[in-house]
Amino acid sequence: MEHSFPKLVCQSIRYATPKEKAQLQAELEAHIDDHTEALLAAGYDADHACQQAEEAMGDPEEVSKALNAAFPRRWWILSRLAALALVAAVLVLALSLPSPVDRIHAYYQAKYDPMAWDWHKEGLPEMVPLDLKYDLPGGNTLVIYAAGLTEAPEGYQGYTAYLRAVSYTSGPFQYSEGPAQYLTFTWAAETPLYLMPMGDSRGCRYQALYQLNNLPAGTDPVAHLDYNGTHLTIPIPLPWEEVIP
Amino acid sequence: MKKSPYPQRKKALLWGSLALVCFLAVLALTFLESAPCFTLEQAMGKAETQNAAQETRLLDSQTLDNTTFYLTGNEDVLMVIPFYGNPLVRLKKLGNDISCFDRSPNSPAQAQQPSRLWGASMSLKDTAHDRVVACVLGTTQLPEAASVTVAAALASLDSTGEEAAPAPLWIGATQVIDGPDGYDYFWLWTVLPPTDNAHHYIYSLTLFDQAGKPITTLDPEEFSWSIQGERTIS
Repeated sequence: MEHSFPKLVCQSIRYATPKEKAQLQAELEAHIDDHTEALLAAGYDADHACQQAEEAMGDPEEVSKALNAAFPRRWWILSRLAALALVAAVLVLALSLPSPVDRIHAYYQAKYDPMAWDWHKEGLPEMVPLDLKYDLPGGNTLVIYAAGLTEAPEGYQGYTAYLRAVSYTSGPFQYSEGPAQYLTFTWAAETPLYLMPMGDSRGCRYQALYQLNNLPAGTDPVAHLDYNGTHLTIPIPLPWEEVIP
Repeated sequence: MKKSPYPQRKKALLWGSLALVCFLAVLALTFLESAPCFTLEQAMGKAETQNAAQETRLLDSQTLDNTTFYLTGNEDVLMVIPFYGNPLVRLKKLGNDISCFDRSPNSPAQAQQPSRLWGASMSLKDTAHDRVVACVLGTTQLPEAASVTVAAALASLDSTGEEAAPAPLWIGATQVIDGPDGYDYFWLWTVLPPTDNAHHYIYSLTLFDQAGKPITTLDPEEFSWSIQGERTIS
């Protein structure tokens, strides 16, 4: 049954949301209904029982005053400010997440599955895995992890080798200049040749793709790293059996 | 637990707490990503990781305005690590500002020459004060080396693209200090006027013995990339 008392009371509550008002109204209605049912059970007639139950609730003005005190303006304002802060914080968090997630992914990919990194470069030969791994100072690691051979493209002689190298730090949130990009190579000449690699840096790891042109058939190049006191000489076993039957 | 007499307080506290958790998460991520350094040891460790260098030790420091520059080094490298007085700046910077100079010989022939003069320079643009803070540092293994003078000049290309005669800017002198890693070192700071794209600084070094007699010089042409250079003394 619909009663006028709950509506009157809820209309005069200023700082409650419509949902809160609806809840209050339902609560008051239920209370009056319970009382009405009790009066009916006691032998009152329906109209009288309903009227009696509503009157027993007291003066609507007094009740709404008491309820208004339970919904003060300060908490209404604070709850809205908190909601705004929550929306802002969620937005900022959502915007902040891609970069660290990308770093973590790039780091573990470099460490455990560097071949999964896609260079999106056409014409790359099939790569043969290598496991030339070196610990460098400062917690850095250098790995030359794959090599491939192809006949030299137009304008070059002999064969072209592709080498994939990666360097990474001791954790995804460390930063390194990327020693993998500073490799030099020798095969015929005595002076190490610096070949600028294709590179991709994520701070904690550096992926490098080197292209060594004009390689005579059957020649294995040697990679060198002379970097801040580290001096490495790394013979690279190229998969010649793949291109020379 | 006592039930709150204010239904909206529960909401405000819940939403506020969630917002705080989110902001703390953002702060933690920022902290992890930028890895700020609060102590010199942390900064040195970060610089060593960044440059894949062996452990370095503190050699010297120089404070300019609100920033202290630390010179650290080992047998192979010298690093200049800025450490900002303002902790808030420290949260954002330190990393890209670190300068690392590889002083190890880059050829077997050089390695066999124990007495060499090696120098490097760095220029830091100070846009707030419209100036450039320049540092020249170097090492030598010449036992008789006692002091060094550094001359800075402003070089420019004329309309034909030829290098015009450099205009002298500044001359400074400092003592050569005994280093713990088998070489002596020096560093010198100065403030220079800013340059535009058509001009650049060039430096020359002159090494003196105890009696003030010049031993050797390092000319601007020997500073490769205008950053580093070295001369082997036979």
